[in-house]
Amino acid sequence: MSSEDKIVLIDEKGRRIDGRGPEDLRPIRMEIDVLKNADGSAYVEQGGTKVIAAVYGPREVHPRHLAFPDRAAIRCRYHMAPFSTSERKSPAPSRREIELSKVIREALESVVFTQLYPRTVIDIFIEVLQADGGTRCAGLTAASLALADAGIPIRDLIAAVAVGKIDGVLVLDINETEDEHCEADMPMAMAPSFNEIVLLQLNGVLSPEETSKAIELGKKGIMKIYELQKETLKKKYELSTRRSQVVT
Amino acid sequence: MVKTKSIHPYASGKIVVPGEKLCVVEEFMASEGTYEVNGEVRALRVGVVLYDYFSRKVRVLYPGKRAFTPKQGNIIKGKIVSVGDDTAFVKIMEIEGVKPLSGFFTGLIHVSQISTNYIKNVEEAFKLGDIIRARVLTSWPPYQLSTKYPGTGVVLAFCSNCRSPLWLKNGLLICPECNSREKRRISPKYILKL
Repeated sequence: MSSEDKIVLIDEKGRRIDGRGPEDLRPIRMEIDVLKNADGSAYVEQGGTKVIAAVYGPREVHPRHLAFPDRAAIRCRYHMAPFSTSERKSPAPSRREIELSKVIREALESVVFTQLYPRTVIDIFIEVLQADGGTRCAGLTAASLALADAGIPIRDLIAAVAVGKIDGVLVLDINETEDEHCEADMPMAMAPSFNEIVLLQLNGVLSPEETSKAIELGKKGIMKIYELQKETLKKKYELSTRRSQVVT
Repeated sequence: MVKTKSIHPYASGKIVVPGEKLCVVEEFMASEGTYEVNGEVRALRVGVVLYDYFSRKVRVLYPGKRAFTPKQGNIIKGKIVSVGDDTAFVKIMEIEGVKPLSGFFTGLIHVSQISTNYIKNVEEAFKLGDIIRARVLTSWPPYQLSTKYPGTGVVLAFCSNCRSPLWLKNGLLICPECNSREKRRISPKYILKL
């Protein structure tokens, strides 16, 4: 890469391409119970990334052989809408989407009390409406909110964020442009109450010291997202109890 | 902490989210809506906390959405979807006392579980399309059902000739369209009575 055509990702003042500091999150908006037909749903907007998650279940498993005799199965579909990217994406599940569905499912399996619903399935659908980096993280944040909204017993919420390294600096919550040109990109998800990492992936190269620093940085971001998740759920609860008081 | 008007006279009014620590096991035992881990009691769903000082239990109550599946002892409403020699399959649509299910579950009734009286084959008691009220015997799919209990049985039946709803008159089901008479395992809660 020659120095002339390289995009300036961090300027001399330490500002990033969208004006953020290295440890700043993008503006986040969260909403739950956005879909009528799903048992639980959530919408998460993180900068330009817009994700909707829907949860169905626990319900009967079809085909039957996918059921477990002692616990609920979790099926997860991470999908990017054809219009979510700058160039049309084929709606067929790509290799990448299949992998992300798997890692997201495994992260969620670690918090759901599946043993309470034997021989059933919990279906989770994550639809990326607009992709601007960190879609798997926003998807996971949304999915955990949707699970809580559906009233499915969970051990903890899950909050997720991507940490990146650009021009040798560790940055929080990278966007599409930064993702394309970064030296390393590390999505991570945590169960914040237990300080437990449930998803950790790494694209690129980080030294051992950088990795531990990146994890610390990620934790900071995750805690902020977790606070927002709590706020969203509590606000919705207040509204729903107020409504039930009016009705009864 | 956000405060609201409580939904239970003794509820603390504190709203919690899943994973939030409520107390340690020495203070209150885990109960409805909570779980225990490493000697601590935490919430497993969104709701308002109730510390019960009488039974020394902590609960998380929520009046809204909950993940329901039929449990042993529940009364369900469903539709007969297939009738075999010794079993009938039921599409469970609603658990009584709970909001209607968003999906459905499949249940089955064995001839031996239809009535306390002798029934030779399922056709005598249920026919395709009948709406029944039944009790759940197992807590996981495929749900075993029974109509032996009081108040259970067919609550709405349809004529096997012309499919019009049957009316109950003096313990007999009569079709108003074609005047045919039919036998069922009728529930005292049958809805069309003459």
